[in-house]
Amino acid sequence: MKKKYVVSALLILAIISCLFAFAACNKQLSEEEAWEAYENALAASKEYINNRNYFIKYKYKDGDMTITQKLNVSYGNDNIDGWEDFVVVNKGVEKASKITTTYVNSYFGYSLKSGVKPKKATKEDYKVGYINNDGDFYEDSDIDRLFGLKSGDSYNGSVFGADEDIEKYTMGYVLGTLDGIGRDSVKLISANKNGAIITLSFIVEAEGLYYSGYNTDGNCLTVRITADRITKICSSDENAPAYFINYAGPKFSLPSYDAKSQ
Amino acid sequence: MNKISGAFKSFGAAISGLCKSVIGAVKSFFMHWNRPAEGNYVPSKETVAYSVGGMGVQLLAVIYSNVTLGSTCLLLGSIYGMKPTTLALLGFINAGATIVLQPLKSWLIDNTPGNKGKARPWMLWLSIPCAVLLTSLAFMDTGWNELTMTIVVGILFIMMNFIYQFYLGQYSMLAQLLSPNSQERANIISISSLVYSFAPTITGALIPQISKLFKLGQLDQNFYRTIFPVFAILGVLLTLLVYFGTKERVIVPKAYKQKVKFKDAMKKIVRNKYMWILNITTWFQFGRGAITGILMWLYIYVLQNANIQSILSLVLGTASGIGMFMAPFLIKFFGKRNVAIFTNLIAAAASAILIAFPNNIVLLFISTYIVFWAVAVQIISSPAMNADALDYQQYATGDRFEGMSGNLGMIGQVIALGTGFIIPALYEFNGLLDDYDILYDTVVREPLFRSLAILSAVFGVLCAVPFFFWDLNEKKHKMMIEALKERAAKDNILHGYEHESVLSSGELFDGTDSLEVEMHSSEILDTGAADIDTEEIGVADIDAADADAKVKEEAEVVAEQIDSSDDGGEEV
Repeated sequence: MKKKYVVSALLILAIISCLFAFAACNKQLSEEEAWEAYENALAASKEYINNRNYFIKYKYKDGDMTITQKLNVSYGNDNIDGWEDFVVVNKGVEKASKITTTYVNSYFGYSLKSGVKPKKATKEDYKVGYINNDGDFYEDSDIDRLFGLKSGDSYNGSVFGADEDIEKYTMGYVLGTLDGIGRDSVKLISANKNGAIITLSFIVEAEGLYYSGYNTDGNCLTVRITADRITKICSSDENAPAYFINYAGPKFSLPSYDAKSQ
Repeated sequence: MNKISGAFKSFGAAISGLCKSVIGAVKSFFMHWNRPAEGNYVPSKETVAYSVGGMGVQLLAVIYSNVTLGSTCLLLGSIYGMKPTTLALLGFINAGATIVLQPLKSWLIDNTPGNKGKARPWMLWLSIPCAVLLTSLAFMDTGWNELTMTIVVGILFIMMNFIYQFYLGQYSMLAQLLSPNSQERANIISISSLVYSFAPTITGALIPQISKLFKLGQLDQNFYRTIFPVFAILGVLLTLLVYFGTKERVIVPKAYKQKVKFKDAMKKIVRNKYMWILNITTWFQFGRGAITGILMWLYIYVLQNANIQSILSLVLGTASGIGMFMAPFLIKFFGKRNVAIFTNLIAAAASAILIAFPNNIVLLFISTYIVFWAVAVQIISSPAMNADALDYQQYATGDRFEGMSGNLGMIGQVIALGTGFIIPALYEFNGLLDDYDILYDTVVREPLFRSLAILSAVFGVLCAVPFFFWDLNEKKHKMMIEALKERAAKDNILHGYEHESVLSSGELFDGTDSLEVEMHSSEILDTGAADIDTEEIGVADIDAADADAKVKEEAEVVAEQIDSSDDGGEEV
């Protein structure tokens, strides 16, 4: 009988502990705590702008369709010491609800010579350029210009078929939408902490900011912070873009620049 | 050097012994094709019929797996366009309907008409309606509006689910009724599990290939309209093999006619502590395998290599096969109670390692492998223990409650409605909301996997705890069965069914001890006192003067004595 009471007591304790643990994970933050979390997260996220990997999704509604566009940027080649300006970029359009859209992949950056394994590669085995959907490689060394290309631009004689210019998916652009958002320019209306996630809602009354106009409780700016970095920026308007920021993305390797000639 | 060579010799001897055991088991299997071995009840051909027939059950299960009420279901979600919230609502309604209909199902099982048993008849009667309802879900009109689609699919699904779960449950229950020998039951469950697992393995490989013949592949309604009827027909035909190729063997007197009243039955079942132990452990099983739920995430977000994923899937698939194969041997050497405790604790320990190393892919796979193995062993041991608990019920109250005992499971189903939210809540606490690509990030994955590891470890231990109270060991069970045989034989003699079998199948059991039991029972009746070795079981003597009502009345007294006795559990 004693064994039964001990076990029952342990079980009840375990259940109560779990309930308290869950309850403790969910709380409202004070204004000071909220702004501190936001500023720290923004600073940590900005470190990824030009020298770290990231994976951004840009989602918006267009009529009945939900379009999602992705940018996957991978910096750095672990196999070549000291070479940190290596950029591999993959951008595509995901299938929308009910209606299939064309999946467009555009590759920009460094491409490895075919037959050479990354672990044994040297800088001379790489070329910088653009690979189109047909697998044709066009060499270039100006990464900045690649990032600035817009839909319809001609690139080495081929019309670039991307739906949107890449620039809009870069970390610099996405975090740039928060330029001007601070303690002096916006009003914090809610700050909830749920486990590892902090969700902040702002009314943006200042003019001239990207999110100016989102100035009511029902139509406000929402910023999500996960693991101390900004992971979502959106408003209540489904037709306006929502940005999902991930600080790692799928592995991929740029096709070899001489693959087609093989 | 001597120690090393000695170790090698011992290892070699163990392997040799194991090989001989396996070869011996295979030889014995074919030797007893038509007649069971001494002490057993089931000839090998019947095990084959049950096992191969199980493939038919699995074929219907494959159809069922393609019509689940979830947004990942290609037929209901992608093809019919049913919204996730609609499917979730139907799922909730279905869960409620299952709970409400459970007592009806239990009553039907325990009051099965005819004398063919409780499991086999229902498998026969339900196989065709089950097949028809499952197949019909592939023939909805995609032109219907949302409301019409929801109502039609909802009604069909609820009817189908009740019948399908009933049918599936009877196949599992049949394994517990094929033999009163506990070890033999475990062997049959193990063999059949290994055999019928081929069905989903084969269909899993075939389905993607068949889908290539259709324009839209697995998103083509015609694909489902083709495979559902084919699998359904094959499933029904193989079910016939189960019905005609097997027999149910419970120990009951010839004059026994079961008439179960719901309230009376429930009053007796709630005093069966072994049923409670088995049910309580199921309340915690949702958490035990929490860490294994991340397997697909590991493949997609961490590994990102399709070739390695295929190899690892194959390797992980062996865990279940090895577990099910090892189970009867483990049960024989350690007993079911100890196997239940150890496998749960092993699963908990495997998950606990990940608390310290949540991002170590190798450890993650090893942990998942061990948990899969442990769960597979319990696929064999749990029904075997359930059958023992049912035998105890018959011993204590004189009743067979295969159906009514399932009503205790309703408590678990209600609890599951709540606990079903715990793991999703854990996902959300750790950052998994509307963007699953966050799983590419180690910084997000690590705390999430650690939380799941803690949950798995804690609930693995909780699953083991109830079994510390299980004191129905194999020796006691065997003595109980002998006592049931003697009671049934006595009853037969008193009702003029001398020389009749005490098995519901009408067979004389292994042929060596039936006459012995009858003679023993005759002696008991002549002397007027029960000569049952009750010392170890702790049961009072039973006066056999008035067999029917007296046996039941006294049996209830016995049950009270057993429940109130401070009979210590076996030491682990």
